[in-house]
Amino acid sequence: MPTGQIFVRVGRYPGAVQEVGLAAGSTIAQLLELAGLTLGAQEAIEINGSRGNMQTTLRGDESVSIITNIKGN
Amino acid sequence: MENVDLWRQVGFFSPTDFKKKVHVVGVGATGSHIVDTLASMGIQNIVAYDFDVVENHNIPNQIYYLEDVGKLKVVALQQHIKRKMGFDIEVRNEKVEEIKDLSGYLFLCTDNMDAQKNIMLASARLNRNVDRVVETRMSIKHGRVYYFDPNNKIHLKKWAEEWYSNEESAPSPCNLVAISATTKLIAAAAAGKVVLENAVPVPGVPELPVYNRTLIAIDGSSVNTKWE
Repeated sequence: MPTGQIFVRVGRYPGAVQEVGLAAGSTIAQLLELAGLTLGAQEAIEINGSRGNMQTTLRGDESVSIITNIKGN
Repeated sequence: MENVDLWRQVGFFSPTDFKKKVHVVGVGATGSHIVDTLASMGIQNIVAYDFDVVENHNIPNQIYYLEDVGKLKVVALQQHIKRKMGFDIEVRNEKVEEIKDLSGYLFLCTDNMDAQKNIMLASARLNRNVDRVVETRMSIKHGRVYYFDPNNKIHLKKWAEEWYSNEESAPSPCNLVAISATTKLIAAAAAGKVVLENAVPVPGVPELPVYNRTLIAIDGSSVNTKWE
């Protein structure tokens, strides 16, 4: 079981990024709650540039983004 | 008639050495600027596809002029390139579902996620004649550019992971659809990847990587990802 505190960068793209401290092994759902962010219906989670989800666990030093499913042209 | 002189760029990108065909599906916001950018760098072997006509609300963020309102976009674009660069590009006034004679580079610049996917799967996926697919997505404050090899299974998997349907896409309120600054940045990033990958190495200057996905914001900041 992971122990100790980790730090993760999180924000909605494009926009400000905050660094959040939380327990190792926490999920992205817990991270967003701590950061005061909510995931909208047409938004996705990315972790270090790849798709993640609310259950993805964090090890520390990740960059997590909420990104809108845009489609215009 | 005067000829365009490209001497300021040819040490980096020589259009005469670029033998590939470039297909641009959708010549609205990003697509019209992509064609303008590539043609302005001397690429003549361009095929532009669209079935729409120019409307007044297209003028602020597309390449067209007020005098083009009511014209087919492909016709107005062809005239624009002829007037600017002195050569003709090929245009096809059609709603694309599949491109039978596809080769080289495929730019997908429609406003329909389902169409983007269907055209890619029908025409480019595992097609050895196609070198790269370039797909753009746009909102008012940021955009995405995907640049990948449709014969690379890792690339296909990563792109599929990041595709979503029209229904899963965020709707844009009618006064928050598009702005010129963001459009031009996305178009420049998309065209720039083709140029970068086909550029002449400059002695003493480190080469830049060609990223598979670029997120670009209205202020020019970007987040880049390579898929392999």
